Amino acid sequence: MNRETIVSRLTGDECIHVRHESGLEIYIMEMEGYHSSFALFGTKYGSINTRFRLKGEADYAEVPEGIAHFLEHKLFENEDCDAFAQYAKTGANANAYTSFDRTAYLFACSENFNESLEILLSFVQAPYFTQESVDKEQGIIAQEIRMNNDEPGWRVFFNMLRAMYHNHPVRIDIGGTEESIRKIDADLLYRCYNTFYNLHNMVLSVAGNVKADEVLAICDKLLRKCEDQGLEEVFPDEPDTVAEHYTEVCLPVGAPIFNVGFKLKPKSGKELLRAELTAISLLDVLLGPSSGLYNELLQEGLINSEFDVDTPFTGSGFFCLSCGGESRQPETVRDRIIAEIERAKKEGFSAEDFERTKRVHYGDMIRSCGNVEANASMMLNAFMNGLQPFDSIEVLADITYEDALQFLREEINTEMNVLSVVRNQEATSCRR
Amino acid sequence: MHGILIQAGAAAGDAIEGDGCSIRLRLLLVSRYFALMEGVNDLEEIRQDLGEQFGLFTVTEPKFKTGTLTVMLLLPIIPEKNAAYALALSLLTQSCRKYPDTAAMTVRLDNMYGASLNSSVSVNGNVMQLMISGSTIANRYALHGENLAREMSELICDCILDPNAENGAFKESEFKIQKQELLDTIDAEINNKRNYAFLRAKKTAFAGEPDAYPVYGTREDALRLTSEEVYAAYEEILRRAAIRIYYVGPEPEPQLAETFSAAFAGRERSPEPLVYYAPSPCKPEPVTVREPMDVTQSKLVMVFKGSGLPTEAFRMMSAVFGGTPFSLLFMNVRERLSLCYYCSSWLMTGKDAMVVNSGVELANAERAKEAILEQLAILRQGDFDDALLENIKQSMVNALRSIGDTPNSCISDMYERFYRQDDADVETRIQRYLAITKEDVSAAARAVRLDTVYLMQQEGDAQYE
Repeated sequence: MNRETIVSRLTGDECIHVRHESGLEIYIMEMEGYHSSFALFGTKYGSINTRFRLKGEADYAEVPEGIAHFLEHKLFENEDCDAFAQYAKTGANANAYTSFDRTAYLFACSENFNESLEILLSFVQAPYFTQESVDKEQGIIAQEIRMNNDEPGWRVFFNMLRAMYHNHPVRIDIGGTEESIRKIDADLLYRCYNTFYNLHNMVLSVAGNVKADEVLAICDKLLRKCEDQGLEEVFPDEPDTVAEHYTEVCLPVGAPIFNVGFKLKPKSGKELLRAELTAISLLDVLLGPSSGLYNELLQEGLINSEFDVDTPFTGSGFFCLSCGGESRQPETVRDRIIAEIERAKKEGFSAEDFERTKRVHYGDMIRSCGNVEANASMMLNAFMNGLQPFDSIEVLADITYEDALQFLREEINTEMNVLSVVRNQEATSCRR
Repeated sequence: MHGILIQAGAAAGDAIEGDGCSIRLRLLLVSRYFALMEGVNDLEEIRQDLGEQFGLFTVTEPKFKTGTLTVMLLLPIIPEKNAAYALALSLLTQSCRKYPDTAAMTVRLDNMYGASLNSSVSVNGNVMQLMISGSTIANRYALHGENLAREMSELICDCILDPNAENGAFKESEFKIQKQELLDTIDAEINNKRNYAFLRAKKTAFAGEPDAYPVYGTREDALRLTSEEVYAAYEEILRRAAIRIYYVGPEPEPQLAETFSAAFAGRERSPEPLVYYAPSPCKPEPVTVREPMDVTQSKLVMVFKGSGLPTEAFRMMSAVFGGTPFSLLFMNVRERLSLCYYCSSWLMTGKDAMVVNSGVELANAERAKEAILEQLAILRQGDFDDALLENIKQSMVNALRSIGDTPNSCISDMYERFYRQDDADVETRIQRYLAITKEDVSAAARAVRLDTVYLMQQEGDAQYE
C-alpha cells in the first residue's frame, strides 16, 4: 500500500493519498475542529459510457442509454436489506448521483462515521438484482425522467447538447429515455457492474472529522482485491460542427429561457484543467456582470440578473462553453454575444479585468477549502479528471493574460454556436 | 433521493384530537442585553445591544476560512407592501451611491476576492424577513493584507444607509432594471413545478392570512410601483424593522459594533413587535383544488394543520412520517407501492402546519393520496417500528451536531434560537429529542388533520376525485 501526503503549495492544506492493494485509490483529508464528515465512493462510469470492452474481448459491447443511472438506483438494494435502512441506524444522511462520466455514492454525518463507511463500502461491493426489482425500478425511473422533462432549466440545457452533438452520447439525457430503460434487465446490470465497478476504476474520498488510520483499517477489512480488467471505452466519431444551430420547445414558463453554447475541441488531463480555468476567467471578463456587454444588455432589458456564464461542460470527447438566462429576445442576445467574442478576438480585452476575475476564482477556491463536502468532492473530481488534489489552485495561479487571448483566438470558434430556447406556450412560435 | 448531477452540480373528515385548531399568538419582544452565551457546539456567541431591537451577534472560530456578515431586517408583514419591500431590498444590494450600477458593484466585490453579497425575502409566521448577507475569505488569505471583514461591513452599511437615490427616489435607471427583475421573478414562479405547486397549495391553505399572499407581491402590485413609493417603503423598513446583525468568521472583528452603531446613529427608529407563531385555523372540511397544466408528471400537495404542538414532538412526527429516506412515506408510498417519484413531508412551524409534497402519475394520484393518509393513520395508532423512531432520533442528533461547521449554519442556529425564544444549547436540544416517546409522536400525529389538497394535473384521460 503506497501512502503519500499531498500538500497545497498555496494554501498549506493537505490530504493523504493511498493506492490500496485492492486497486482502489483513496484520498483522505483530516479537518481539525470540524464535527461533520463526508464520504464519496465513486466510479468512472456515467451516462456516456455505453460502448466498451475488456482486455481480450474482440468486440465492443453496446448497452442501452441510462444504464449507469439505473444501476445507481438498484445498488442501494442488496440481498438482505436496503442500504438506506442500514444508514438509518447510524443517522448518516446518504445519497448518490450519476453524471455523464461518473457515479458516486455518498453520506454526510457527524456521528458513527466508521459504521457508515462500512455500510458504504459494503453495499457498493454487493450488487443484487432480480428481474422483479428491475421491472419495478423502471416505473420509478420513468417518473424521474418525466419529472425532469417538466423542468425548463433541464430541458433548455439538454436540448442545447442534443443540438450541439451529432453522435456523442452526451446528447442523451443522463437517465436515458423511457424507451431505452425498458431494454435494461438484471443481466445487463450485472455486466455493467462487473465492468465499471472494478476497484481499479474507482475512488474513495473522505474529508472532515475523520482519522486516516481508521479509514484505512476499514478499507483493509472490506475492500475485495480486484484484477485490473484493462477496460477500454470508445465513443462514436464526432464532427467539429454542431448538429443544429437552433432548437426550441414550448412549456409553461414565465419569460423565455435560453442557453447559448459553443462547441470546442475536447481535451483531457492538465491541458483540460488549464483550458477550463482560462475559459472561466475569460468568459467572466467578456460576459460577466462587470462586463460592458452584460450591462448594455441589462440596460436595454434584453437580459436580467438570471443571466449567467456556466462552468465549462467537459469530459471524455466533449467540451462546451455556455451561458444563459431569461430573455424575450434570445436571438438578439446570442448575436450580441458572438459579436463581443469576435470583437475581443480582434481588439483583445482588459488585462486588468482578467487579473481581477482570476482573483475571484482564487477566492472561490479558498471558500471551498473550508467546506467538508467541497473538499471531498474536490479530491474525487481530481481523480476522475486524472489530476492531483489542489492542482486547480496552482494551475490558476500560472495562467496569464496571453494564455487567455490565445485561447480565445484559437479555441473558440463562434460558428460552432447553438441557441436553445424554452418559450411559453402562448408565444407566437408555439401557437403555430 | 438518488439524483442526477450535471457536472463542472389525514383522512378527509378525520376527527382531530389534542387541542384542536385554535389561533394563539405568541408575542416576541427583544430585550436589551450584552452577554456571553454558550453557543453552538462549543462555539462562544457574543451578544451586543446596539439600540432598541438592534443587536449584534458574533461567533469567532479560527477553523473558518471565510467570514459571513448577515443583516436581518425583521418586521410585521403587510401583504400589500410585499412587492415594495422586496423591490427596495434588491435595489439596496445591486448598487449604492458609491457603486452606482451592477458593473461598479461587481468590480468592488471582485476586488474583495469574489466576495458575495446577496439579499433574500421570506416570511416566517407573521414576520417578513429581509436579509442582506455578505461573505469574504479570511484576511489571512488576502494577498495584499486587506481587512476584508471590515471592507464588507462598510460595504453593507453603504448599501443599507447610502443607497443609489436622490430627492426621495431611487435612481431611475436602476429602478427600471430592478422592477423588471421583480416582474420576471414573479413570472418565473411557474418554472419550478414542485415549488409552484406548493405556492398554489399555500394560497388555498392559508387563504386570508399573510402566507397566502406571494412573498414578492403580485404582478399587479409590482407594476404599479414608482421609484418614490419604493423609496418610501425603504424608509419605512429602516424605521419599523428590528435589526439583527450576525457575524461569524475566523477572527474577532471588534469594529463591527462601532461601524453599525455609527451608521444608524440619528435615524428615527420605532421597531414593532414580531409575531413568529401564528397558526392557521383548520377548515371544517378539507378543500381540494385541481389545476390542469401541460406537464408530464402531476404534483400532489397536501397541507395538514394542528395547533399548539410542542416543537420537538411535531418535528419528530414529521420526520417519522416523511422527513427521511427511511420514513413511512418514502418506504411505503414510493418504494413499496411505487405510487410516486418523490413523497416527503416538512413543517411550517410558525403555522403549526405540515406539508406533504409528491410527484405522481395522474392515474395514481387518488391512490397516492389514500396511501399517504393510511400512513398517517398508522402513525396516529403508533403502529410503527420502535427502530424507526430510534433511527430518526439518530438522524436528528447527527444534524444538530453538524451545526457550527459553516458560518451559515451558525447564523441560522442563532436566529432560530431567537425566534423560537429558546436558548438551549445543542446538547440540551439533543436530550429533548432523545426523550421523545412513541406516544408523543402519535399524539402529534393525532393533533393534525387534513386542510387542503392541491393537484397540478397533467393532461390525459385519467380522472382524479
